Amino acid sequence: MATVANKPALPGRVESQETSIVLVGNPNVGKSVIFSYLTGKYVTVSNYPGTTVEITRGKARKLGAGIDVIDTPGVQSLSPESDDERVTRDVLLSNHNTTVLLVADSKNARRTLTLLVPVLEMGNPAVIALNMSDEAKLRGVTIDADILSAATGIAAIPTVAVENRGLDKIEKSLLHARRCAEPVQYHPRVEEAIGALSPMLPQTGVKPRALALGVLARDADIAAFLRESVPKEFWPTVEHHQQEIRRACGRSAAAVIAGARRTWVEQMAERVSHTAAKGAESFTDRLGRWSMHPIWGLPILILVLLGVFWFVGVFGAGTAVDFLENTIFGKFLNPWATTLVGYVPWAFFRDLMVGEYGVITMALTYAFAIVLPVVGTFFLAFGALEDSGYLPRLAVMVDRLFRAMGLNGRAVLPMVLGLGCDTMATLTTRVLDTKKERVIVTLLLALGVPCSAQMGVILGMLSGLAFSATFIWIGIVLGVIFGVGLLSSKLLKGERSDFILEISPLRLPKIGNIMSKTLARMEWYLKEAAPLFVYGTILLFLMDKLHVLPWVERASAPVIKGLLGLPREATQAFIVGFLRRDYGAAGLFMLARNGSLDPIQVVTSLITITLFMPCIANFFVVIKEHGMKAAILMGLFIIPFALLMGGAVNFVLRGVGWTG
Amino acid sequence: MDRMTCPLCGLNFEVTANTKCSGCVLNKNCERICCPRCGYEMVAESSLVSFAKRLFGKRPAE
Repeated sequence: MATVANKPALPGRVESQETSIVLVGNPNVGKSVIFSYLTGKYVTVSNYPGTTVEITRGKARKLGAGIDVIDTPGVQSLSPESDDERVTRDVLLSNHNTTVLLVADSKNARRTLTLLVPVLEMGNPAVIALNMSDEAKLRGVTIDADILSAATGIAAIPTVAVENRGLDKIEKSLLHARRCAEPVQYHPRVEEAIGALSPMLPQTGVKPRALALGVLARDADIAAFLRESVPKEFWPTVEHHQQEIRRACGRSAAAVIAGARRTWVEQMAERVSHTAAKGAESFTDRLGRWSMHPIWGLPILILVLLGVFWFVGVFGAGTAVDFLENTIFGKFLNPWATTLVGYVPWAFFRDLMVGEYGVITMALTYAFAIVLPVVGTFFLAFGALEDSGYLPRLAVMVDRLFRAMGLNGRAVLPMVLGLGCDTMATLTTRVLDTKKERVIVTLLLALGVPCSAQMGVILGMLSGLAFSATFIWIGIVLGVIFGVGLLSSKLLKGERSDFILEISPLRLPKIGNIMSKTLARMEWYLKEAAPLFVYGTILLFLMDKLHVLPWVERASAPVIKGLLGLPREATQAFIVGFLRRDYGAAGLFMLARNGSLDPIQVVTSLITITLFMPCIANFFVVIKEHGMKAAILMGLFIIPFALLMGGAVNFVLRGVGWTG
Repeated sequence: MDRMTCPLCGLNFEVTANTKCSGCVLNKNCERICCPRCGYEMVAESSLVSFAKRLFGKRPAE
């Protein structure tokens, strides 16, 4: 067992001077099986201090008395983005006399090497277990252990942990584990910075080089625990070197470091990993590859959208809504409720429950009979897409498209996430560097990205029209997003941040998974949306009772009727649209079903409501993230813009004589 | 403690109180879980499904 000299404790860490073996690896690579082999039966499982992440410890059976073996949670990287990754890195930083056993998936050299780089840079003696080598062989993949060992200077041993194959060699190698020389040589300017910062760093369980790289890459956790233990001039020096690196390389230090590591991983993967020439590529593999392509991916995306469109529009918005609205609510629930509430002597209460703006006849009917079947079918379709492995491919394709347009790639992720929930996606804009970037991406989200619930209702409405209506809607919304996005790319000069997506094989979705996800989503939707539907209805009810509603409708007539060409009742949809955009869309859906909207009015109203503020929750989050002034300014831009775009669509479609 | 795999980026993570969108005004009753790496939103298991699992004896592994 290799050891290092005892060194002072790191502030803020649970320090251990015990000699230990730490198992590190990606999730589901067989760490626990190897851990059981090394320790035997008696282990302790405890939460890592300050977290709920479990760490398993045991004593090595054969390696010698007093050697702890620690099993860490499976991680993708050591740049902490989750509690699991934070704990795994803390364990490495905090245990001084540590030998690392990196448990690797032999089927995926790149993933293994990505994790290997920071482990080697920390300077601990290490051994690599190339586990699941039997599965890799079946797939025609081999990692050349000798070349990997020669290139890194540490032992690399093929294993099949579930059959105990190769584990005796691992045990022996751990006794003579070696440290690696510096695996990655960085840009000379980065090396110069490492040289300048290292003498100022405290002696810890890991090499100063690893800590220097961490602070240069703006690793907040490393900065936090170094805060108290470095001289005052350390941070200005870091800042100076970060600026120098940016000047010399044209990119941030974090990007330069990540780029060098990626290059090392790619080159090393080419050297050590071999894939036997396979027979003809399977259709699923080809389909998976095409779906990520910026050009071939588009027809696949259109086919997927058509499938979703048909399922949600025809089945959800047609059959399911008809049954729930006309049979369940129309024949049973609403008449029963009206009879029951009729016994209540107060007319005000009767109106509130079953009147024109009644909680039962409007809010609950909208929530359960109109929106739920539509979003329910959308959730089913979305669950199938999630389970099939298509979503990461869509993200890669969109990212490539945006990159081809010269847009700042970091904006892609919040935009894709906005299709789930704009409010949550607004929070993810925190990853962007400057306030200006965050504000513009937030604006794009609020302006043009419909959330999943709204998307379901929109698809439902469009399904009743000619397919050209869908193309007009998609074209205008994408045009607005790309227009504002292109404008933002001119205003924003930023770098792409790396984003790891694990592209799993395309597979046939499992019915059980889809049903379970759909049930969970529908339950969540009802909990979140139904109360807001009730609040919105009560607001309309009070406005009607106080005679404010007719006044608002008259006051907004020049915009609603004159500009948008919509009937007066559409005003109500826009009022509740402030609370939730999908509630507003549901109001428009009802107008369309009742025959109160012609095809041009349907398209105009959908464009307008899509470009509206998403919901009141989104507005509050914008206030929280960017302040009241920015939120109000955004609202002042978005609402007139949405109305003007809707007006333009109305006049153009009427001008060209489009009939839908 | 439950674990989830993000359908977008593939991160397998432990579901804790920190995997919620804490900044959202609706988070008190929100069932959604944010992937710690990419922010993709998922929903926790439906209480109906959990109930069925409890009822029919499918318990989490010790």
